[in-house]
Amino acid sequence: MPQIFRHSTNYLARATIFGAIFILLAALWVAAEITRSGWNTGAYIERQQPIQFSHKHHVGDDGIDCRYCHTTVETSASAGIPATAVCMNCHKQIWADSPYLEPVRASFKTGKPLQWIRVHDLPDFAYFNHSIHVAKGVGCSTCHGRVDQMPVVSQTNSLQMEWCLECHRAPEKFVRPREKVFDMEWRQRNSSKQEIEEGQKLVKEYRIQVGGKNGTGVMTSCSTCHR
Amino acid sequence: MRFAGIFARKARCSLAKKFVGDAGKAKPFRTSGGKAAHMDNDRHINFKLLRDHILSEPPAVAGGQKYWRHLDELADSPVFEEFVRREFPHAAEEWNNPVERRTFLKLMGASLALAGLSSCVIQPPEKVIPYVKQPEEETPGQGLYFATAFSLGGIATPLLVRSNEGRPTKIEGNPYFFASFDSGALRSRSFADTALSR
Amino acid sequence: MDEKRDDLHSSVHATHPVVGTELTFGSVTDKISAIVLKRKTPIGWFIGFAVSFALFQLMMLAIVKLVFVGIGEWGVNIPIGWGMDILNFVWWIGIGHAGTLISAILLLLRQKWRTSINRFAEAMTLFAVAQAGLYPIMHLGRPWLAYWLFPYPNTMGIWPQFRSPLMWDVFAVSTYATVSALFWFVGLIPDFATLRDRANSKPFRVIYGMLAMGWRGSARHWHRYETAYLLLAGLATPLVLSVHTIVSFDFAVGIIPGWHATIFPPYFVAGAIYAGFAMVLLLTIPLRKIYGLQSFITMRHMNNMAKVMLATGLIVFYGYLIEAFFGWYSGNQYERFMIWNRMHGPYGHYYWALIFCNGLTPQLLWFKKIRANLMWLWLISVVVSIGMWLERFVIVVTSLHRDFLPSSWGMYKPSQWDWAMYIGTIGFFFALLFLFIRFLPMISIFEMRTILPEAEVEE
Repeated sequence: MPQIFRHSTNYLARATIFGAIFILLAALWVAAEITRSGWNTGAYIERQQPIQFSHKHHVGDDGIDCRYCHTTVETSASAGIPATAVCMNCHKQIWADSPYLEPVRASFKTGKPLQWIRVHDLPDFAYFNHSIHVAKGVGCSTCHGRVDQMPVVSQTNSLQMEWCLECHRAPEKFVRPREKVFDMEWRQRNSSKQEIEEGQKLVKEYRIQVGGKNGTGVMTSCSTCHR
Repeated sequence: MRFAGIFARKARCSLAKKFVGDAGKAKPFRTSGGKAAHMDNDRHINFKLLRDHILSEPPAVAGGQKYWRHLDELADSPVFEEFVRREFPHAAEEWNNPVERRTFLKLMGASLALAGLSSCVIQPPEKVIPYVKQPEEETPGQGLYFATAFSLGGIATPLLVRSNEGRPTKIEGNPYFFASFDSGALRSRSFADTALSR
Repeated sequence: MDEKRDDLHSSVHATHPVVGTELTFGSVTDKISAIVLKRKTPIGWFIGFAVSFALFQLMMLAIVKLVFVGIGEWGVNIPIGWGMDILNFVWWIGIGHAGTLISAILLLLRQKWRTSINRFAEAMTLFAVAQAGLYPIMHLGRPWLAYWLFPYPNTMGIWPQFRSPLMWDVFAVSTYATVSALFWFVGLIPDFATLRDRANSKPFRVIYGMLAMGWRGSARHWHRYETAYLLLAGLATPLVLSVHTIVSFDFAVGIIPGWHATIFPPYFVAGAIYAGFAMVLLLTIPLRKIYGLQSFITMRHMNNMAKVMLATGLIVFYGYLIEAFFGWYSGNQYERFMIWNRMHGPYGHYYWALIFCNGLTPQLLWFKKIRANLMWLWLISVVVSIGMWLERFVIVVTSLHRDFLPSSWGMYKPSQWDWAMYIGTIGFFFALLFLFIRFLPMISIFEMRTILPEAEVEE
């Protein structure tokens, strides 16, 4: 009875079986990493804007507070993009003839608004409100990163649900005193035991409704964000 | 060769012992695949005696024929016996995990894959467009309420209009006027369309 | 010696022998492997396969339409949110249970009569579970997101909703499919080896050879095989009970009258075995005639399977009666209405058809003459299969269409695409079965040899 397979088939069979399992697991792992990568989430992609507005210069060097331009961050769901008039408040006088600022002046003259490219965008099925976060002690830099060091704004976090839940499930790890919300240099998260304790005090003080186990408090209830 | 009997038949072994020749050339076995290498070499079997015996054997008895797979088995050489001993399970045996063959699951998966792939489109970047000159009282994202009036059948009817960034989004009767007034009529779609068209 | 032999081979204790007395080791192997390797494929096979394959294409069409258009093309609507989708799912899963019972439970109970039907029954289980598995995925609004049902590290940072019985279904059915497939495949390995050794052409030798996983038939292999097979049988046995219990929870954990009943788990499990054996009989009666397998699948098998059908049918009938009883006995107006509505409401004729098919028809099986008459047995199996479909229809639709609030009442009419999908799955099932009987040994060759008189080793 002649052998149908060569002797090497034994090794090949074993290698294929183990290899298949390994490759399957590796493929799943790769897929998981890709969905979290910047390619999928848009993180760390520097969005080129119609005008090269540098936060690094305006905030980092000139020391302008976030709220000067993003006026409605404390009162509305959207933080607000500044109207052309806000830019012209200074640039009527400073760099009034700069060619870089020509589109701003043109917008102001003609009444056509500037069209900025959105950097931080959540899908439409998720509701986000800036004012409540600011009121409860979540700092700008916690979610948006060190904007004062960005010549071009990029999204530093994935903005995926698991990232939001990291804070929503344990706000004591991220909350800061209200006075420090607009402080770019304050720590973005509370790591040491003492910092977390301070965070827990703030959670109580600011009445952040963590509630009982997962899903019972406002913070972890589905309909809070998926309205 | 035909393989029918899967159970070892004891009768075979005693029969063939006579035909073993010089078995001193035993070489170490390979453990995988079919037979050991040296079993391809039949020199240790005395073929003439083996043949004579087979030819003179009585016909098959009740209980089935005696089958053999290899001449070594028929001759029952020590070479073969070593091999057989190797094949019998020892005290502690490893249990091999059989491999899954999910042929029918593959069929299911194939039909699903045909049905649709997930839309892996990354959201293209949107534009965000502010005002040129933002009216002072406006808060984007929050509505601005206007108390106004509308002529309904010649009578000025008070309205409360919510406007989001200049777009009227809700028109209703002003609750401070005409509390008993049926504001249902004011909420009807045709009314809102008429109001918006002005 | 004769007294010591069990009643396998003598007609003294049993009505009929379990295996034909003229068989020998050689003839068993020859006969079964010849169907795959030597005999010319009967023309009926081609016709049957062509028809089933055409129906399978109908199913593919229904699936594509569903994925592109959405669930709206089915007849489900408010208030009947579940219709043919869940009811066909339960019907198919139920059918699968007989195979596992025959393979696993009868093995552990050492019932030798399982031998000639277990391979076929287990194949039937796998193909039925394949059909069933399509429904939970297709009935999702976005079937391409079906992978969300599994607990993988997702970017949403959440677990699936384990409180839902539909999630329990996902695990129950996947486990069932996996274990059944493993069990079936392991049991096939020695027969793949037989086919490999007897195959006439090189491609078949290679294919069967690969499937045989290098089987030598050595005692070491047999020892490992027996261990693996017993372990898998042990794993599969609780599944017979647990899987359909979980499926019954789809209904039993709901609050509407007619669903919220503790009778459901045993009632469903018995119903599953009932439907499964009906399908096994429906298939084996014509098969044994066409392929001449009367020596393998004997009247003893038919008798035993009919008896199992009768027993489970009685349990199911008890289920109907007790449901009617506690619907009244509870004194709850909604429960009372539910049972009244089942009998006299717009779907009342389905209910009475159900009582006839599942309650009254199997009573014929009390009579030995009926059990011995294959024509009657086959007809009863068909009626029972239809009856089991009607049972799921009555449970799902009548409870949903009229529950607590009369203003929410409605009627359910399955659409063309509902029927297309259902008939398509029947076609897919048969297509797979045809492929199975053509390319794989439908009776377990080596296990048959163990129950022959030749196999008894003299002490």
